[in-house]
Amino acid sequence: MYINNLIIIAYYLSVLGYYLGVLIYMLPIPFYGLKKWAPQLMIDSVFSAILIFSYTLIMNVIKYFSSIIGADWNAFYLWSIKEIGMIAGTMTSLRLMGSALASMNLKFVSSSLISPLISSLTYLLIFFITLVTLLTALRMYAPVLIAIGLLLHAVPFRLSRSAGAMIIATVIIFTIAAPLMPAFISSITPSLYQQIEYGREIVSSKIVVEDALSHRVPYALIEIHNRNGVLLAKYVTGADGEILVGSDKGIPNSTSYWSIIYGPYNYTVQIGPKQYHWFNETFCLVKIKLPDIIVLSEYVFVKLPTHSRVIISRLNASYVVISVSKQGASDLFIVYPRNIDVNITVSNNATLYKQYGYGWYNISFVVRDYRFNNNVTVNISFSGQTIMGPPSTTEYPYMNYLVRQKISSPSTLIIPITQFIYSVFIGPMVYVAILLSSSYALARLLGGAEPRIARLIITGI
Amino acid sequence: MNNIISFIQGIIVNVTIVAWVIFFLTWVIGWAIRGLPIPFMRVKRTGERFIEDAVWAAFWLAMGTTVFALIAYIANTFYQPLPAPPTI
Repeated sequence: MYINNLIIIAYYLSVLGYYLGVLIYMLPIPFYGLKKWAPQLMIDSVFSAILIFSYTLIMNVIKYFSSIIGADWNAFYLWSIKEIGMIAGTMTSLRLMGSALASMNLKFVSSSLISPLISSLTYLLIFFITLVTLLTALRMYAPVLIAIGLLLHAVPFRLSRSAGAMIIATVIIFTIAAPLMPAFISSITPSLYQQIEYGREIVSSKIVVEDALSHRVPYALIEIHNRNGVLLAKYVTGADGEILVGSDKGIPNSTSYWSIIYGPYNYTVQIGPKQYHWFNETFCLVKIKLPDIIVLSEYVFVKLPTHSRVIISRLNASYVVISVSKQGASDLFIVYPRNIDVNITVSNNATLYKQYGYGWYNISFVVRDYRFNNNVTVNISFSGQTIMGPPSTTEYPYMNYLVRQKISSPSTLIIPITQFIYSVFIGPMVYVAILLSSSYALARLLGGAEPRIARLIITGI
Repeated sequence: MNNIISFIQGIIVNVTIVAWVIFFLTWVIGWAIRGLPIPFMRVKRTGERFIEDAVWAAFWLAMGTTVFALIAYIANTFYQPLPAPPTI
């Protein structure tokens, strides 16, 4: 209704312009400067009227050309959402890096390098979202905008003719060609495109360490190395045998070597993303089983011979009976901290082969090695246990490793952002400039600066 | 909206009436100047031009309705039911 009214007003304005032209034509005065307006007004009005009656034609031309050149607004929106997501992801990664740097007492690096990058990305995001909003508005309000353009175009004496022509031309050109922006940008983007891939390098995870009977192993030390033996990360499980590693710490999203160190024993496994249990794209569970350890209490555990069968009965929290059977001569190790009292009785067919101490961080263990044939039954009771807490080592988050790596060569941080600037700022600007210049040319054709089409259609010269 | 439309329509009617009045005025003035008993051909030619312009303008004035009807007709063969040509 609104659009119809605009068009009707535009139509009557053009009729008015025509009759004004005729009126001026008739004036009985010999001022030919004024009289020159007469044919001009009449021609302009007739052309405006033609344009007004072509309103639906213009809308159909837009649709037709869009379908010919394969303009797809959905693809355009998908592209812009992807770009926005990439920028936002990079911002998050940088923010995490900044907080990691702050925790590493390298706050000056984060304020001198990370903050400017984040703020430039923010400006980039503002610019890009504004541009997308503007293009969406042009597309959504194209019918109204064209009607307004026609109205302005039809005002007599060319008062707002060029503005009207510019609006019409801009709407036509942008609605047709704006969705091709992703194709244009991808065709001019150099191939060295890369992004800061923390999103791919690092994942947050829950790490669980279990013993042979699937009980949690408290205070197990986890060291993650790469294939060259470089330490990537170091964590210690909590009293409940698990640790939650957030995205500010993370574990590698690539194959690496995990060493689980528990007292004197060290297990190394090669674990990659395929062994992770994925909850979603960025969060996973890593479950590691120590195949021959049975944890009885905090730091009190038994190391079984490999491939043995075991029956365990816990009479109460501090009294356990274990039966182990294995063909031939084998060793059973019982490990406990020195500062608790442990009472061990073994069945007749086993002997205490060796007993030695082992220091592990702040804990000194006693290791008893029992040698037995075929099977053994052990009664273990322990008392006087004090809560010792985790081994006195500091954890080394994977993020710190990554940050150290990135900081050592700032260009790896800056290059991806310059590429964002290229694909989200310079590319769209160039494309918008191209569209604007063609809009201007079309506007001139429609009678903005020179009434070319008008003269051509109406006088044929 | 309708106010604006009727306002513009009123102006169009007025302009048309004034134009017809001026046509007769110009016609009279034109013949008067042309018929002046003076030997200045430039002045006489001005009168002739007045008459010529007035006749052409009267022609376009009379054709105005037809011109817009024609545009409407041609456009309608392509599409769009839009305002009917003005009837004055």
